[in-house]
Amino acid sequence: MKIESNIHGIIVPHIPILLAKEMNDQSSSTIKALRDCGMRMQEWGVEAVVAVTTHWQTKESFFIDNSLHHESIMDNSGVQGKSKYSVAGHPELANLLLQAGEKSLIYPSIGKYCANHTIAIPLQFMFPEGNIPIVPLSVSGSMLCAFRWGRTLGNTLRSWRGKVLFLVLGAFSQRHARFMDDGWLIEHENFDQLIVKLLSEGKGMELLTLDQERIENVKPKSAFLGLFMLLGVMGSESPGYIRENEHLSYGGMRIIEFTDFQPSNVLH
Amino acid sequence: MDENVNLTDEEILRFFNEGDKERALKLFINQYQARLYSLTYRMLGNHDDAMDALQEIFIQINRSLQTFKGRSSLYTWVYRLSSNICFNFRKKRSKTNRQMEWDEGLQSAMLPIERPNEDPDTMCETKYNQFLVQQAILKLPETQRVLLILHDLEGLSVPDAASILNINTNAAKSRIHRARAALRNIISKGFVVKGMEGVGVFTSEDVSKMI
Repeated sequence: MKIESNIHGIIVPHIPILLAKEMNDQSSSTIKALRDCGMRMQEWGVEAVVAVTTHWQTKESFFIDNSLHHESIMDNSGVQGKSKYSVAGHPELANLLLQAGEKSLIYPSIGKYCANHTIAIPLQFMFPEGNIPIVPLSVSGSMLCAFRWGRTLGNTLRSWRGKVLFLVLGAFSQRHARFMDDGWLIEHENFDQLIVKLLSEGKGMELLTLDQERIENVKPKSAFLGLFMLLGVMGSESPGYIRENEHLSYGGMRIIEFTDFQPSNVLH
Repeated sequence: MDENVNLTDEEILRFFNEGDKERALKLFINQYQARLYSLTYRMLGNHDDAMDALQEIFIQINRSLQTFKGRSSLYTWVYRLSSNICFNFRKKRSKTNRQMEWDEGLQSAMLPIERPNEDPDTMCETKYNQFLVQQAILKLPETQRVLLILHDLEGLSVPDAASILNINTNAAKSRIHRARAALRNIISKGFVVKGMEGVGVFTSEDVSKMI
C-alpha cells in the first residue's frame, strides 16, 4: 500500500480495549482493527510513534518524554494488569520536537512519563513486538494551545521526513459508572456518533461550536486536547477514516485514522 | 480596551525590559492569543492559515518588541503588526490562487464556548445570522473589510483601528461608513455562501434582522 505523506495520524481508545482483553474477548473487531493498522504501518515502514496520552495532563506546559527506554506500568486502578509493554524511546526525535517548541515560543518541557496503560494497551495490538520507538507527549492548556502545538509538531515532523505515526490515545465520551449501573447511555452514543461524523467529514473544528453543557455531560477525554493536537498535526480539514466504530455494553470503541491517501477498506 | 489589558501590557514590557524575555512572552501569549487568533481567523478564513499567521505574529513580536517605543499602546502596535502579517499571508495566498472563504458554520473560532443563556431557538437564529453577516463581510474589498473586522467585530475604537492601519480617524470613519453601505448593498443584492450553494442566494430578507 502506498502512503505518500510521512505522517499518519490516528485516535484510538484504551480502557475499553483493556477491558476487552481482560475479558478475553480477543476477537473484538476493535482489536482486529488495531492489529490491521499496526500491520499497515509496519508495511509502510513506520520509524517512530509520537504518542499523546490524555492521561498525562500537565499544568504549566506541554511535556515531552525523551527517555531512551520506556518501561510499561499498569496505572489503571480497579483492573488487574497483565499488560507489559517495554519499548525503546526516540531521544533524537523528542529533542527535535523540544527545540521546535522552544523556537515557536511554546516552551515545552522534558519530563519522564513511561509507557502507561493508555500507551501500552493499543500498542500491544498494533506493534506486538515492541519494535517501534515511541515519544510520549502530554496534553496541556486550552484547545487553542493544543492546536497551536499540533501545528508546530506537524511542521517539525514533516521536515524530519522520517515516517511517523501520530497516535492520540483516548475515547470520546466517557462515563466511569457505566460498568456498574445501566450501561452506556444514548446521550453518550449520540455524542460519539456526532464526533465520528464531524471528523470523517473533515469538520473536526466544529467541535468548538458544540454546546458546553453537552460536552460537560459526556466528559470527553482531556476535553479533546489530544484531538486538537492531532487536527493541528494533520490539518484541521483533513477527513478522518473510520476504522472502527464499535458500540459495546461498556463503551464505545472509535478508531479514526488520518492520512493523505484514501484507504480502500474504510467503513464509509 | 479594558483596564486589565493596560496593567498586563505594563507587566509584559517591564519583564521584557528587565531581560526576562521568556516570562514576558508567556504573559503576552496568555493575554493576546485568543484575541489574535480571532483576528487572524476572521482575516484569513481557515484555521490552518490562521494558526500559522498567529505563530508568525508571535515570532515577529519576539523579534520586534525591543523596538517598541511606546508611541502608541502595545495593544495598537500588536494589532498593526498582526494586520500586516495577515495582509502578507493573503498576498502569498492570492499568488497561489487558493480560495479564501470562511469555514461554514463557524462563528467564533477557539473562543470559549458559551452556555446557552436564552431560548435555544433564539440562540441558533442569532448564531445563524452572525454567520451570514460574516459571509457577507467576506465579499467586501480588503481595505473596507479589515476596518469592519477591527471595529465592528473585534470591538476596537475608531481611533485605535485607524492607528493600526496608519490612517487618520476621519478617513477611518469614512471608510467604515462606506464599508457598511457596501455591506448593505451586498446583502440587498443577495449572495451565495460557499458550501451552501444548494440553499440558494441569501437576500436582505434573510438577513434583515442582522444589522
